[in-house]
Amino acid sequence: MARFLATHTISGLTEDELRNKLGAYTGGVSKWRPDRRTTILKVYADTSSGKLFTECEAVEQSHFEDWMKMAGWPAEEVHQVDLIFQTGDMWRV
Amino acid sequence: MSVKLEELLQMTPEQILQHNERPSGEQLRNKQQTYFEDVEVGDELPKYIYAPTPTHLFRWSAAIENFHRIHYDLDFGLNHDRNPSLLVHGSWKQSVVPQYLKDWTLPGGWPWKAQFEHRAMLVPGDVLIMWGTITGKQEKGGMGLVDLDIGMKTQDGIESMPGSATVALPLRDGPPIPYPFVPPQE
Repeated sequence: MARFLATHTISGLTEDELRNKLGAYTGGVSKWRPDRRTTILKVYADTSSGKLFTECEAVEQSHFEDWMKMAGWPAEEVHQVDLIFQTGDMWRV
Repeated sequence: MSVKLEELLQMTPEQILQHNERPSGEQLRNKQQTYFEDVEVGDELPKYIYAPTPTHLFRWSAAIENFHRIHYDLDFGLNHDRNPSLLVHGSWKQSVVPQYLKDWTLPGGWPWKAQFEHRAMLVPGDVLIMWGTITGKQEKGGMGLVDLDIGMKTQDGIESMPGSATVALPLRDGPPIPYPFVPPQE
């Protein structure tokens, strides 16, 4: 498994669109977990500029790209991540 | 009217949640006995629908004092074990089986034995269907033994806990099932 981070610019991005594309806990699993080995972990959005940062755990990048097609959010850049710092913890992924 | 498992699996998760047949405490206290003669091979048991949340998982961890971080520490689960989210406890799934069989055999029957495997990882947000189907029945030692296939499927139809079970139901004109339960002689 690998960790990926992508950047996107989506014109007219709204909170409703985010909620619709990502779903909620119950009933929305398939939107952020499109298959058993691909999980969208986190999405940061700046709705004023349409900037999105999406983080995904997947076997390979093409699986993440499949989800981007499903969401209709093409990426400007995709990076594979190997280190994560989060509030005092450093994770090598 | 109970919905067939295959029909449930055609529904959206929200629709599946509308078909939870898990009885209330009051319904269980007033439950009419299901007798051996009432059931046939191929019959499906009522479906119990669950939608575990992180709060449920945290509560279960505390209740059974299982403090493995994969069940409540999302960062640890994602970044250390590389799990897709918090994981639903196998022990919680395991706890559903005797409850499910006990509820169906109440008040005079007995869930004799069950075996199952833990397979798919389940995460908060999954909608889970506890199901059972009758695969065989025989009279033995004055009681009705009913064999079942059992499992817990996700909304996507993935079987996370394939297994089987045997319960004892009373015969309509037979003696009560002994308590404590004594299995019939082979």
